[in-house]
Formats: sequence, C-alpha cells, structure tokens
Amino acid sequence: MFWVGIVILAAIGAVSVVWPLLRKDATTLDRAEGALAIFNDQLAEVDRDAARGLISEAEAAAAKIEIKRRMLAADKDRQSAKGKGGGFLVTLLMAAVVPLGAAGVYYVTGSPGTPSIPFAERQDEMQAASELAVLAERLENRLLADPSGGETRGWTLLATTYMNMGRVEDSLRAWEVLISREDATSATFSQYAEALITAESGVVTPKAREALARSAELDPENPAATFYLALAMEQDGETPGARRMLIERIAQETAPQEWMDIFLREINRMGEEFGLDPIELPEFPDAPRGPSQEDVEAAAELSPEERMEFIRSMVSGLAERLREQPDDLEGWLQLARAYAVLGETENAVEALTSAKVLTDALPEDDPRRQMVEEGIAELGG
Amino acid sequence: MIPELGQFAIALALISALVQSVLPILGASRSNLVWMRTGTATSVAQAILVGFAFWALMRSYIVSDFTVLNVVQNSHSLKPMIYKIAGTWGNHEGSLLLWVLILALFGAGVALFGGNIPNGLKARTLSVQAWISVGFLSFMIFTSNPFERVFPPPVDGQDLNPLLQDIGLALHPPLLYVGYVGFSIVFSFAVAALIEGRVDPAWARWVRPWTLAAWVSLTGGIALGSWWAYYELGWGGWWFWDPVENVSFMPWLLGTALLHSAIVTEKRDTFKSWTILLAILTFSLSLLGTFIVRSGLLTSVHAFAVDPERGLYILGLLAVSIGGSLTLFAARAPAMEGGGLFAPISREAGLLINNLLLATATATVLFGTLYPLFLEAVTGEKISVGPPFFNASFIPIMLPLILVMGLGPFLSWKRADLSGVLMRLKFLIALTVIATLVLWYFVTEGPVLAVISMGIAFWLIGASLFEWFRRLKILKPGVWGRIRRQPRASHGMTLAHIGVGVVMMGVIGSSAWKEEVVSFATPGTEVQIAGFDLTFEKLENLRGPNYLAQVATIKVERDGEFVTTLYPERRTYPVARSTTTESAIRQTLAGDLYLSISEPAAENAAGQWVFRALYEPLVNFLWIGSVLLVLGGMLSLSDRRLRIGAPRKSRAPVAATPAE
Repeated sequence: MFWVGIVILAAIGAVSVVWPLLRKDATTLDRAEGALAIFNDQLAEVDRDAARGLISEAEAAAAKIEIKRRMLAADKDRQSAKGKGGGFLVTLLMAAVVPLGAAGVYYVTGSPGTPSIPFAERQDEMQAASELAVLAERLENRLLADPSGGETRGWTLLATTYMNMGRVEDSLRAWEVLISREDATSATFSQYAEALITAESGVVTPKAREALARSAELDPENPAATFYLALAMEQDGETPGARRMLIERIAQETAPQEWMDIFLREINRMGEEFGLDPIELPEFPDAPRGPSQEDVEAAAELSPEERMEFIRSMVSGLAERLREQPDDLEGWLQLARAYAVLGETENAVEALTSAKVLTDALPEDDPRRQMVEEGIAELGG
Repeated sequence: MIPELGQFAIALALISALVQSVLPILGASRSNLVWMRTGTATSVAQAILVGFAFWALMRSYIVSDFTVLNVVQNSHSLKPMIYKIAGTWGNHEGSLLLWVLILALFGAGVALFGGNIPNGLKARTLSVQAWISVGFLSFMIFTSNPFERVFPPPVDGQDLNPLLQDIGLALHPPLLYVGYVGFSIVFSFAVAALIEGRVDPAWARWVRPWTLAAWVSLTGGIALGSWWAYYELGWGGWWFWDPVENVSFMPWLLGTALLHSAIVTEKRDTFKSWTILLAILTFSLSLLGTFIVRSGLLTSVHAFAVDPERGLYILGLLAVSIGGSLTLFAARAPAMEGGGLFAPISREAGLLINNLLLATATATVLFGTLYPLFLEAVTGEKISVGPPFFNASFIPIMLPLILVMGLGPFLSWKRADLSGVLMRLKFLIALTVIATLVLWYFVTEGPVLAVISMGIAFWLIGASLFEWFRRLKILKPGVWGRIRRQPRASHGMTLAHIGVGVVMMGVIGSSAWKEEVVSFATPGTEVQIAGFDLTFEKLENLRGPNYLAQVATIKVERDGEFVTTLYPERRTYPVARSTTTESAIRQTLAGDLYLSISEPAAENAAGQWVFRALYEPLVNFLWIGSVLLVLGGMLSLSDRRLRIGAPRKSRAPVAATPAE
C-alpha cells in the first residue's frame, strides 16, 4: 500500500513535467494578441460610455484614437516566431529529476516504516495505561497509609513508574520521600536530579545540582551524576570542561558499558560546536569481547543446528581466553550466562565459582556478589 | 504510513517547484514552447501534492495520530472535533503548510485560468511563483517539518487550552493567509514583467483580478480578527495597534493603493513603474509580516537570538526576494515610463494623491511597528508604541484621503474641471456642513476632531451615493436597465467607498464617544452609563460541561423602563487551570452595551466584584462597513470584463470584439 501511494505521488510529480509533450493541442497566445484583445475591450467600453452620455462624442473620439494608436504599436511588436519546439531531452531529464530528488529529500527528512496509529486503535494501550495509573495510585495510597512510612523498594517502584508514565510531578513527590531517608543511595539522588531536570525541560536547577553533588559524594563513579554534572557545566557556558569531564569518566573504565553510547553522543555534540571531529570509544583491549557484527550476521544465516554449533564455538573461545586471564569478572559472568542458556548447568556453576573467587573480594553490598551467590544457589543447589 | 506519504509529497513538491523555477523562464527567453508550457502542468501538480500533504496532516489531527509530533504538541484526544481540525493550522508548522498550500493553489489558478495570458508572461510568472514556493517549502521541510514523527507515541496530546478554542480564531488565519499569499501572484506578475521588460495595459488587466481577490480576503481576514478581539478577548476593544495587527494592515493599505494604481495603468497606460513598485512592496510587506509573526521576534528579541535558525532563514528569504526584486526594479523601471499624460486636476491626479497618502500611511505604521523592535535589539530597552502615536500620525493622513476619495469619482480622466465638479456638488457640501452642525448641536462633549471626522464620513457616503445617482440618472425612466448595463466594477467601487465611510463612522463613534464605568459591585449595586441604569441583582455559581462559572444577573433599565437582562460570566477551567471572561453584550445599531465581571485584585475586597460596563456607540458600523467593503470587492471581481479579453487563436488581430 505504502509503495502504491509513493508511486502514484511520484508519477504526479514526474508526468506533470512531460505533460506538454503528451498534449500538444493547447492553445497558445503571444503577447500582442492578448494586448489587442484588451484594447478591443477598451474600445467597446468607450463606445458604451459615449452611448450612456458619460463622455461627450468628442471625448470618445479622442479616446478611441489614442487606443487605436496603442493597438498599432502593439501590432508592430508582434513576433513572427511563435516559439519553437524541441528540448525534449532536457524535459525528460527533468521529469526524472523530480522523483529522484524527492527521494533524496525524503531520505534526509522522512522516517519510513514508522507506522501511523490513530488514537482509536490504541484502546489496549489506553487500557493498560489506565490500569497502570490505577495500580500506581493504589500503591501510593498504601505507602502513604503505612505507619512506618512505607518500604523504600515500594517508593522507588512508584517513583520510576510515574517517571515512565511521564507524570514527572508525581514522580518528584515520591523521590522527595526517598531522598530524605537514611538509606538513600547515590542512585536515588541522581534519579531525583533527573526527575527535577525533566520537570524543568532540561535545565539543571540549583536544586538539581545539590542532589547531583550529593550523589557524586556517595559514589564518585555513578555515571548518571557525572553526566548531569557535565550538563550543568555546559549550561554554565563551560562546554569544553563539560566535554572533558565526560571523556575522563569513560577513560576510567576498563570495559565498555551501556551508558557510554549516550556519553559519546553528548561528547560529540559538544565537540561539534568547536568543530572537533567526532571521537569513538577506546578499544578496551582487556575487556571481554562479545560477538562482532560480522559474527552476528553470519549466525543469522545459519540453520538452527549450525547456529548452536556457532554459539558453542564462541563460548569455548571465551572460556579459552578466561583461562589465560582468570581475574576478568565480567567475562566469567558472561560465560556463566552463556552456559546457562545452552543448558550446560555444570559448566555454568563452574564459571560462577570462578567468578565467586573474585566477588568475595568485593564489598558486602555489591550487586555482583549477590548475583553470583544467588546464581550458584539456583543452578547448583 | 499516511504521514510518511505526506512527507514524501512535500518533498516532491519542493523538487517540482525547483524544476518550475528554471525550465519555464528559460523556455521564455529561448522561445522554447515545450519548456514554457511545463510550468502550467507542474503548478497544478504542486497544488495536488501539497493539497495531499495538507490532507495527510489534517487526517492525523482528526484521528489523533500521536505518532506525529505536531499533533502531540498541538492537540488532545478530548478536544472537540472542530478544534482538532482547526489545530492543523493553529501552530507554526501547520500554518506554514497552509501558507504553501495557498501559494500552490494560486499558482495552479494562474495556470488553469490564465489561458488568455501570453505564453512568455505566463511562463515567467509561474517561474517567479515557483521561486517563492521553493523558499517556503525548503524553509518548512528543513526547519519546521510538520511530519516529524515520534515512536512509540505518547499517551495523549499536550494541548487543551480553552482560550484558543474559538471559531473566530479558527477561521481568521486562513483568510488572512489567502490575502497575504494572494499578493504573491501579483508580485510574480510584476517581476515577470520586469524581466520581460514591458508593462502594458493588458498586463494591468491580467493583474487586477488577482489583486482584488487577495484584497477581498485580506479585508475579510482583518475584519474577522478585529471582530474576534472585540467579542472574545473581553476587553471591549477592536483594534489595538498591536504589531500582529499592524503587519496585516500594512499590506492592506498598500494593496489598496495597488488596486487603484493598476486601474490607471490599465486605462491610461501610465503609472507603470509605480504599479510595479507597489506590487513588489505589497508582497514584501506580507513577507515581513510572516517573518515578524513566525520568527518569534515579537515575544522577545532575545528569544529570537537564542534559537535563530528559523528567523534567520526567513530573514534570508526576505533579503533575497525584496532585495532581488527591488534591484531588478531599479535596473528595469527607468525604461518603462511613458504613456498617457494628464493634467494636475484629473482622475489620474486624484488617484496619485490616493496612492501617495496610502503609501505615507503605510510608512507611518511600518515605522511604529519596527521602531520598538530595533530599539530593543540595539539598546535592549523595551518600549511599546501604542495608540497615541498611531492616532496622532495616522489620522491626519487619512482625513484628506477620505476628502479626495469623495471627489475622485467625479473627476474625468486626463483633465477635469474642478470648479465645475464643485459647483455640481454645492448642495451636497451644504448638506454635509448642516449635518455636521446638527451633530455638534447634539453631541457637545468629546473632541472637536471627532465631529469634523464624522462630517468627513458623511461627505464620503453622500458623495459616493450622489455620484452613483448621477451616473445612473436615477430619477429618469429606465433606471433598472441602466443599473444592469453598468459594469459591475463601478457598482463595486460605490459600495466599497460607502463601506469605508461606514467603517469610519464606527471607528469614530466607538473611540471618541465611548463611555466606561468600572466599579466594585455586590448584589444591589447600581451603575449609570449612557442613559442606562444597571442593577447588579445577584451572582450564581453554575457548572458547564468542562468549567465552573460564576454568572452575574444584571437588569438594564432606561428612564425607569425595563430594557433587558444581561448575564456576564467568569469561567474557570479546572483541568487547564485557567479562567476566561465571558462578557454579555446588548447589541443595537446605535451602540453596544458591554458588561463584564472579574474578581477584585485586592484581598480585603472579598465578596466584591469588579464590574465593568462599557458603552460603545456605533461599533456595529465597523462590521457592516467591512461587509460592504468585501461585497464591493467581490462585485468588482465578478465583473465579466475581467474574464473576456482574449480572442481565439485564429482570429484576425484587429477584428472588432462584439459589444458586450
């Protein structure tokens, strides 16, 4: 359907250019003919005025002489050539240019494939949204009614849910409860700051800065705090400093992280202002490597058995590398996940055990430590 | 899918306009018929393509397709259907699409109905029109894309503002745009004539209907905007000399001048370069208006400086089109003059005075509109040039214009006998003076200038009617035949001139003799205004569909006799967190009694209401006069002499056209 529409529209654009070649019978008019017609009209008008007695006979005669003089002048201008034909090739070329050029413009501005969804067809979504809203409000009421002030986990869920629903004001209310608590973490403060910034359409207010400062104090490595502090710095007009801050934060890491893409986009956006070339993520030679783009593409073309075989070879490659670099925690976790997916529970537990050696050195509340312990309990237990 | 097709359609329209901006004009200079004729079909194609895109956007509004960003920002699923539709052009991107659509429709109009326009002129005109299209289409596509998408769509739209949900506001912009954009065709004709290097009476005749059509819509658009301000804003004013109003008024003033000078060019083969210049300037002022309104310059010069992309683009367009056309004018115009001579006292001279005064008036308004913007840009100081400036500078220019306007139609072409005309008018002059004195006797308070201006308005209406009676020999038998035989354009002139007089009476009455009483009121309060006794009887709380209202009941009496009961209200919309004032108006031909209530600002005056009563004499004459102006224009437009004028191709050149 979409293509039919595109073709019809493109045809309208292209055919209109070659229209004169398709239809040659249109009447044409040169300048003098048109002018003479108007003069004839004026002569008739003078006659009418004279007949009505608006102007005297003498006046009418004078006016007619003047008009006739102009008619003679116009007639002299008449060009003998009524225009040539030809130029077909250029016309055809232009007819081709119209759809091609439009395709180029559309390539830049359009978003092909984005479906159009009338409001009436979104009943399910509306239903889900309104149910979610009811649930969220019920949760809030329960938390408010709780004499102990409500669980932190409950409030966090409420705050993030409101945030996802776009109800920033409501979300802020929940965050404000959370930040006043003893157990508020760096993440609590940075998410609160994020809500504040969203509420002010992207402006980092003094209140948001305070929250970010607190967040960075609790965990200097929290990337969200760094990100928004850099944004604040940029809004103070210190774009180079902000950009440097983001780059330095990436440099602290030894392995690629999910948040780096957003950092990179900001770094390059800021750099563009000063005409700096876009930078790319560092290589991270020590980091465990996932399958490359080519590998994934290769995998897509395989049969199910072949794909299984392919995954196994990738996994054994990773296991091989980890034997040489056993202190790579992320690598062990990845390996354990891969084994779990393949159904090789024993190997998964083995990988997790190797990871546990490393996580035992981590502080008590590190999520990775918990993850490894839970994993072993689940698979091996 | 459909929004993407719309996006593709405007991309096609842009490239098609690019081709049209080159091929036909090149064909005209090389006398290549095929190339020249491509302009006709491509103009029509653009109208179809942009029309399709406009439909696509409107459909997105109607079905509330929130995958289109423009719909998200300017609509809401709960809006009444009519405001969803009006929302299509109620925002920056959508209104640009409407602009471009009207531009394309006018282009197609010339292409389809311009069968009697010579090939060369038509090809060049369509190319120039395509230049403007390219400018605006590219502006829209690259800086203000109406088909920007969001996926996944947000839950609902963001706009539910009750103040903007008004039928007047929905109709006003399209009319105004037809006026603005209509002058683009005249501009294209003018530039094409300059490129061709010749302007003859035939040219003026081809231009006249387009000028008239644009002028009629612009008149209607301005009047409708003024009417909306008067009835809906609730301030009791109908014209504020606000920049947004001024930028629509300036093209109107110059367009009026253009209309008249085109007549001289057509009938007397003179005023050529002046007509061309007016055509260029009128459209330039339309562009300037678009720039001032669309760039955000008005809200604040600083807001403009922060996000200058859009403003700079239009400024560039403005510089290229105005600068380019004026340069072309400077190069070509000197070779263009000549034609009929005329005496200092003649209809030509009268129209020349009309043109000069209208141009001066336009310059005054332009100065008053732009000066504060320049001042703010240069010094940062924010001033506003208000009604006192415009009243002091604009009125003294308009009064002599109206005087000459009454006289003009009596003057004959080439040379006229002023003393003879005045002799014929001596009874009318005496009548005007007597009427003015009678008025002065009754209305002793108020400025003397108002009484004199009223006299001038009497004069204009009287002279226009007298001229019409005389022309038709109204008292002699066979008058109906004579009325029918008269060209409709001349009836149109009489009607429009009377319209101006009527509008003037409305302006004077409602500004010079306006009465206003503002008081704190509680139930039982009595107020006197303009011979009316008003009693504030009670205040009730009512519930509307989506608002809460406080309705006052006010009894109106005159000389102890009951006249009517009025119910001004104040509405609160809880969802949108806004309040509106709904005034109550008693409308009569003599004047409007206009009542409104609002909560007092002071804390200690709780329970008391600010009760505002206004009496605006003759204010309805404004709307009646505007209707007469529009009708006059349309009558003139319907004159059949505008449509004939081209012979069949095969006919001998000087064969006499049969009398009409």
